[in-house]
Amino acid sequence: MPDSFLLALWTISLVMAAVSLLVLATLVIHRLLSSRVRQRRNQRRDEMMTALFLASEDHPQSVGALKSLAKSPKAISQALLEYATLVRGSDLDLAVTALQQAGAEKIVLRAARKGEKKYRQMAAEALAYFRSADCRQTLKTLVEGRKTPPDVRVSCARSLIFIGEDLELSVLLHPFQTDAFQAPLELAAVFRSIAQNRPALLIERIEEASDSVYLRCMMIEALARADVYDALPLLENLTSDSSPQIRQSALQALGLLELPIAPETVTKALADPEAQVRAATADAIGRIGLSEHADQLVALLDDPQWSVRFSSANALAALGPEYQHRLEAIALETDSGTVRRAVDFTLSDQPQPNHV
Amino acid sequence: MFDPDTLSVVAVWVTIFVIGVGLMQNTLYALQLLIAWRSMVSQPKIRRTSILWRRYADLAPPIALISPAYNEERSIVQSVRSLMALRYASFEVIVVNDGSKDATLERLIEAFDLKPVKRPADRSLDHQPVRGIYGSELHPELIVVDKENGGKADALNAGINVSRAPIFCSMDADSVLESDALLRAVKPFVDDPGRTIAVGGTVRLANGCEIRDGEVVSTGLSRNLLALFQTVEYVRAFLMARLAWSRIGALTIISGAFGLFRRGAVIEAGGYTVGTVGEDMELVIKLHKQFRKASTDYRIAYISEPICWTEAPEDLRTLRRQRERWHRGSLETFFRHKDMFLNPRYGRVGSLGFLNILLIDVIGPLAEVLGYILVPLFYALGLLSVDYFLAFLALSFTFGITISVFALILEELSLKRFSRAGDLVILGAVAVLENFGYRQLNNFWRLRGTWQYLRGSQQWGEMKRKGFGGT
Repeated sequence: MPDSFLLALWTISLVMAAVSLLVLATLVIHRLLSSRVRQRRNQRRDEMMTALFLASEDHPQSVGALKSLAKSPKAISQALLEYATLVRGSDLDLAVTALQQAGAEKIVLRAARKGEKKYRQMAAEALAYFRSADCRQTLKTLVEGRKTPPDVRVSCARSLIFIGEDLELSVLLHPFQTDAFQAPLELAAVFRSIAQNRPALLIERIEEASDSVYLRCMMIEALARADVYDALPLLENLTSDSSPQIRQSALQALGLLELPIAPETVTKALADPEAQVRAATADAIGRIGLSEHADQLVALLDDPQWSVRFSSANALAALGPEYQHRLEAIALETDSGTVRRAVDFTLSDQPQPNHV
Repeated sequence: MFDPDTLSVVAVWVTIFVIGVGLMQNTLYALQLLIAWRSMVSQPKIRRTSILWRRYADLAPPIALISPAYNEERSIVQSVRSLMALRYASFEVIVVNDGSKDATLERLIEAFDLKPVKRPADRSLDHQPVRGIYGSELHPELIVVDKENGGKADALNAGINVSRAPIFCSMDADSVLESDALLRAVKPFVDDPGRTIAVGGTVRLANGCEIRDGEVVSTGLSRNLLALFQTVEYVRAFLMARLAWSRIGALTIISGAFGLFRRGAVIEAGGYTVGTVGEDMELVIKLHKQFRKASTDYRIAYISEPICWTEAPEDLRTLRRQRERWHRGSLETFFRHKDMFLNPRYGRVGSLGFLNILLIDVIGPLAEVLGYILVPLFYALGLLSVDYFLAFLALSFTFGITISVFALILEELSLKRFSRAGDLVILGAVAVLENFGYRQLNNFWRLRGTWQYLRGSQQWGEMKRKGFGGT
């Protein structure tokens, strides 16, 4: 091999050594400087929190103090969000007004619209507290914006709901169809609010069946948790859906609503090929107290799937003392070890002294 | 005795093999560094726990913390107390006493006023018989499972069966989680709940840190050189390698000391494989296999922000055993799932992920130790050009140093857990020093691990630890 190759090897080594040394030196200098910056930042944050507390007491100097402190959108958003976890009501309103007078709202608005990517979500969350027309408009624009990152869009939606604005579900959900980031649980909070305020929107959307199974399940659960009894016909229909997850969610929702379900629907669901659906049906029977299905539950104590056996035993126990005694009798008389185990475990979990 | 020409040809080919493997390894490291860098820069960091709490507290799914314990009487009570103090909305702590021969169970019963309870438990995964399940009225979130000894994988399987949360967190009883670790680690499950099946966090070394009541109160560096070498290794392994593999969707390991898994997915995959020494890596590979086979979209991720502190061995004997065991675990997993290697069905995991294991774990130590052995031999036979040998050696060392220094930048960008600027200088010096002895020793241990694997050794080896109790 020629000497030039040898020279190249040594040159590369020396360059790497020099780069490493330089980088390490930069790192150390950066650390020394950044520790001071961090100290100063923490100090400013503490001062801002103090100024916010003063503002809550309507202190005349609070606006001036906030004006000098509220320079970066990150600091403002962070302080405001933290403050909002500590203080509520008129005290919080006074602090927000002071921040607005100090010009903080404009800074946060700018950050939410086109600020640094990593702080946009936090800015969108903070906007919920300003409640001005500008904030509402910005939040709406961001929710509708195709280029808005999904996490920012969901945070904007939550902020809009927090302010009490109506939200167009189709506008919010449309971009999620193609995104890899499909179903953040933060959407569940959005669905819950919509279920409470405008349940018809959710019912319509579920009926359209245009969303992924996961999103539809979240919507179904939101309806049930918000006690939307108008959803009953839809939920009964969904117990025959082609997706087992949807069937399971529908039955869980019916259980949560605690309204009687048509006997033929229950019988069909208890014979569902998917264990998760059978288990959800058994749970629903127990919650609602459909004692006419007790014999079917007893038959399911021998189901091949553990979750179904356990749910059935649990449902029987939930039907009342009469059925708990029946379970005790089954545990004593049955020849099947699996049945006895399911019953025994269930009874041991019941709040009564005399279990098997 | 040998024909000089033949020897010369052999020397050239061996040299090409050793240099070739080294080059491929270095290329992989450089790529990992670039990808990790990109990932780190693009990931928004949330420094304050309160922001996370506000965002996720009412959305985060329940988690079961499963902590297998074997002969942990000295530290178990404090470990459990620190687990129960974690900042998370809904979680249960399941301690699995894996047939300890000491008073681990008695300490727990005494400290938490435990009573035998009957708890409905799924029997989806096989494990050694359970002798009893204990609960406490004072601490309803704590469950202790007492079972026959079966090893860590067996204990985790028992814990998974008993758990009721949709997500479980596997961890070591002697590790310490930062109080917001669960809140941070659950983020992928919240953001992408449909696809996320497993998430790994960062494991850092607690040697040199001050730990009080199961909480890291101040971070620092150990004065033990072996622990310092390992500190640099851990920074590289987590903030560079795992971040990069996670980014490209081919993460093959989530540390057994701290990982979150979707319970249903793990049960479908058959749980932890009992009788393996690398059960953590094996489970991740099984999950990849299961989901790839079923053509189901999924995500196995590593995120740097949640931190678990663990104690590193400070003596050569314990460290040797640990490294031999880790290496056996890698080989075991590689050969057990060799059908995945370069199989298009398994995508990047089968190609890039397995190629990485092959280069770093299977061939890597062999090539490097071969180099150490043959250099003096070739020199004695007059077949070695000292100039070139030194040039390649310098290149290899400076490359390793550069990678380590850049990994420290990643640490500075994300976690900032080295409290003083002086710590960075020390670690920089350690990154240089590790090339002179430690690196060679490590390769020698890994080669021993290969030998033990070939002989079918399943020994875990005793781990000597100081424990956090006194610190």
